[in-house]
Amino acid sequence: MNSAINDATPAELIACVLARQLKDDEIAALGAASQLAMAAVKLALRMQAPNLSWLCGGSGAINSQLPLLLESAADPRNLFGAEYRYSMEDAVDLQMRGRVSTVFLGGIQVDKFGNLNMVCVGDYDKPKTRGPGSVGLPFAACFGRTIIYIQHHDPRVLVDKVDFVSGPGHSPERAKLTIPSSGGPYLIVTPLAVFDFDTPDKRARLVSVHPGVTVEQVLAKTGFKPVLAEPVTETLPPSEEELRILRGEIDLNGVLRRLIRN
Amino acid sequence: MKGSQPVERKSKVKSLQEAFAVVKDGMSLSMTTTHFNSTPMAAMRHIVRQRVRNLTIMPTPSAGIAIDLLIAAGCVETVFASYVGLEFLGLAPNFRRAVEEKKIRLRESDEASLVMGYRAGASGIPFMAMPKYYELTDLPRANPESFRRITDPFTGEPCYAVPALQPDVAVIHVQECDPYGNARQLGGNHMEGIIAKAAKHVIITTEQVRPVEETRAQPTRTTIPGIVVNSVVELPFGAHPGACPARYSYDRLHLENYAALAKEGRTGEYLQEFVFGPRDHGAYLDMIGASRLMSLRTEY
Repeated sequence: MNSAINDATPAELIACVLARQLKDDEIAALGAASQLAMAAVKLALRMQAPNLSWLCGGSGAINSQLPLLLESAADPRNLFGAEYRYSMEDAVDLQMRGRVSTVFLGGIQVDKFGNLNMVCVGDYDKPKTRGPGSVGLPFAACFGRTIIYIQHHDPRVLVDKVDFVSGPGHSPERAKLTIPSSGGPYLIVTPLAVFDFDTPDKRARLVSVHPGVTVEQVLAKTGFKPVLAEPVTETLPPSEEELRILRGEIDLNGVLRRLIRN
Repeated sequence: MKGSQPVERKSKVKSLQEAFAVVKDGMSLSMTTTHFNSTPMAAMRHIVRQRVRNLTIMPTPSAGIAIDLLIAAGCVETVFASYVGLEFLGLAPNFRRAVEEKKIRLRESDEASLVMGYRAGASGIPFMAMPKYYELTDLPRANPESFRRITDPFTGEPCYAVPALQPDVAVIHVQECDPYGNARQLGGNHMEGIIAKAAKHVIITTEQVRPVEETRAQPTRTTIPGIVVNSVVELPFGAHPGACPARYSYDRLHLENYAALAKEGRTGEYLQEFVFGPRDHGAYLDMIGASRLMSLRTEY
């Protein structure tokens, strides 16, 4: 291993894992405060997916060229170099119709079937914590693939069953009710590990742990019992090229070097 | 002269007091925004000073500080909640507390049900049909008032109906507007036009009132037609402490101060200092100070 790999931060690693999922010619979307997803899209465009198009949250920018990671996807500076400014009606039309193939989403709770909750912790009528609300998470029934990422790997976030379903995950009824092209949750990426849903009943499966992290540590910090891949591998760390592009062309302000502290 | 355009058209430009006299206790109120962008904050501070009560808030899908402030000031009875938060500054503390302590009523919503509700309201359609996938979420159980399961009369398939939204008053902040209410939004377009058509009464607050000749020279740049607008109020820096695209960025220090006070349950101190303290919007801007305001200016 070289030194560049060793000094990659958890946020830079997550950005690389997310970026590698994106395909050329597809349409991606991301939500509000989402610098990790924004970095991933900008990295994928410079690596394997030069024809990727992307919707930058509340700014309305399609294919922003801004060489910085702003703390708000709604910041109008994201319109720098963009090709179109979509309205809120456009955003609903584009998502609901199923035109977005890959989306990056999170929540205050994520469960083993990839259900997402942004509404409450505890009973809906007597919440322990009230969250901001469901916003665009119901569109999880419309997106091709939902890639879930969280910034804190915590048993209170990764739970067995969410207290409120804002964004629908996998379930026996899912295929009958979503739009036909929606495949549902595809990955969960955290500061410690990567899960997929490649199991008979589509429950989360631990596929890799990040360098320096053990399976036991991940299980201790996960509120559900994942299926274990055979074997659970080590997450491929950022390559020299990925890090050079991230630091030199995308994240000039070093946001990803400060974002997550383990 | 007979047959020609009248020389004087009635201007819709009013003072803050005159324009907002229509906002009464118990009304439904919409204010447009996406996160910290183009939120009509000067108008919200005025509503707080008027001590309006029992408002039903019908916001845009991603809202936060305006609602949080109105809740802290005791103006709110009900919120159509799709997203009420402070984006990169976390949860909206007064909204959070009010829900946890059952001080306000919720109509649990999402982005699509608000946009489609306004779309129906704008056209005068009674409701909007929504996809059956809402069955997979907890929204219909949390808000049966808004999400009603119906049968598609054409296919026999299940779907959901959401009601049309027609707020009593909508407040929309823009960068430029002429005296007749023809408004131009620079930067984002968050559904202001559709809300203007859906609302029963529309108040535009604008950074600047511009001459109608500019509208006529480039009519395609008008994003909200004056024919649906009732009043125009000139409020420079009227979105502060939020951003107004192409004019100024958000005032991060001020927002952090708000978020910290709100989290500690000290929003009353903020209200005393920044809302009830200054007698009007001019006095508020004096308080923030010219050097601070000028430092926020941006071209994007």
